[in-house]
Amino acid sequence: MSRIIENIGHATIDISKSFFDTLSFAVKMTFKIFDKKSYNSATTSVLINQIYFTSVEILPLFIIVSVTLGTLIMGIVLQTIKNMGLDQYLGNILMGFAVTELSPFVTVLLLALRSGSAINTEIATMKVSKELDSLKSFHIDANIYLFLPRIINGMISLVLLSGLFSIVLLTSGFIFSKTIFGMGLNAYSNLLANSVHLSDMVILFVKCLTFGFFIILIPIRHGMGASYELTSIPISVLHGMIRVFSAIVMIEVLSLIAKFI
Amino acid sequence: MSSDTPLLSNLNVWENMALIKQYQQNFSKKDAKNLAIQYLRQLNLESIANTRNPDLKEEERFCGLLLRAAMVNDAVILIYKPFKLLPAMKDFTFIHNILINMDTLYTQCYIFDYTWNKNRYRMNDAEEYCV
Repeated sequence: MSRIIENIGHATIDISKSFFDTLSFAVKMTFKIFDKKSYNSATTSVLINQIYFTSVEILPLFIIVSVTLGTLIMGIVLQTIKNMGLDQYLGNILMGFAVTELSPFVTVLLLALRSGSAINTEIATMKVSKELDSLKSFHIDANIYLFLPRIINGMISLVLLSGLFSIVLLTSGFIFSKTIFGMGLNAYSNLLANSVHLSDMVILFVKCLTFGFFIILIPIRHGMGASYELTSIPISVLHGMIRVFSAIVMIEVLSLIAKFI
Repeated sequence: MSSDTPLLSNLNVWENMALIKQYQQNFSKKDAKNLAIQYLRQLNLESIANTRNPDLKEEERFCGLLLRAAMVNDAVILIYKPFKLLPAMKDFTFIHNILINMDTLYTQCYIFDYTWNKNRYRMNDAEEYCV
């Protein structure tokens, strides 16, 4: 019995330590984001490359997923609204569900799977192959040169791709509104405009930035935690990705709480 | 420079060299690239400018590391166990020739190695330099 309690205690301490380490790293990187000295020609080059890899290269896949998933979901949702006679809530459902909840959630999942795991592996490999030591020997701060552009890119990409997903969803919404409810473009635009609340948009923007920040920061931290052995790379990616998905759920829950307060 | 300070594998040779100037002196990418190419030209190695670390031959990698170290302002280059980077080299001739060809790019150069390698440097008085 005492052994079980001891194990629970150890697990709690480990999780708390990991949580506070992540938070302190997050605070450190936030200060770097607002520090003018963090920006030089090298970080700008990395940022441009990262935006290309994360936001541009993913576009074909992202558009296919958003059109397929968006059309399917919007079709089902709008048909259900009609069947249940909830036509008067159409605008609120489109903005409240599709734009502020579904878009950032699908976007963050896609980016975490694609870029989060890639960055975790990249940083762990750089640690194992001593490339991070190489940077240190030239007084190049990895926080500034490697991590900062990736984190900023995560935030920018999430906001932009989430916006793109919303546009696809609203376009599908328009097509289905016309087919199911016989609604014209003007009526549809008015419906959406009347359903937009500034507070929701602020929460959506902050949520996207927070998602983008943490789905890159956590893999970086876990990549840095790899040892100098090759076998530590998959372990670091495994732990990193678990923490990323925990963070996504946590941020989603917090944003919902903020929305309903 | 040593085997513990490799070139970054996600950058090619000129990008590895240019990074030092871009980060430390905020050179624009274009200026840093021109300087890196100019340094490579000095050793007749422009052909490896766009090659990444895993695709380099041992000698090319060694030169890439040396030139990257020379990108630092008033460079003082310290080479630690050079024959670990060039295991097939029988003696110091190659390293010596490279250092002479690029002598305008650095201010001083020191080499640290084990005394049992003294024959490869053709030194009989290696003990005098033991640290």
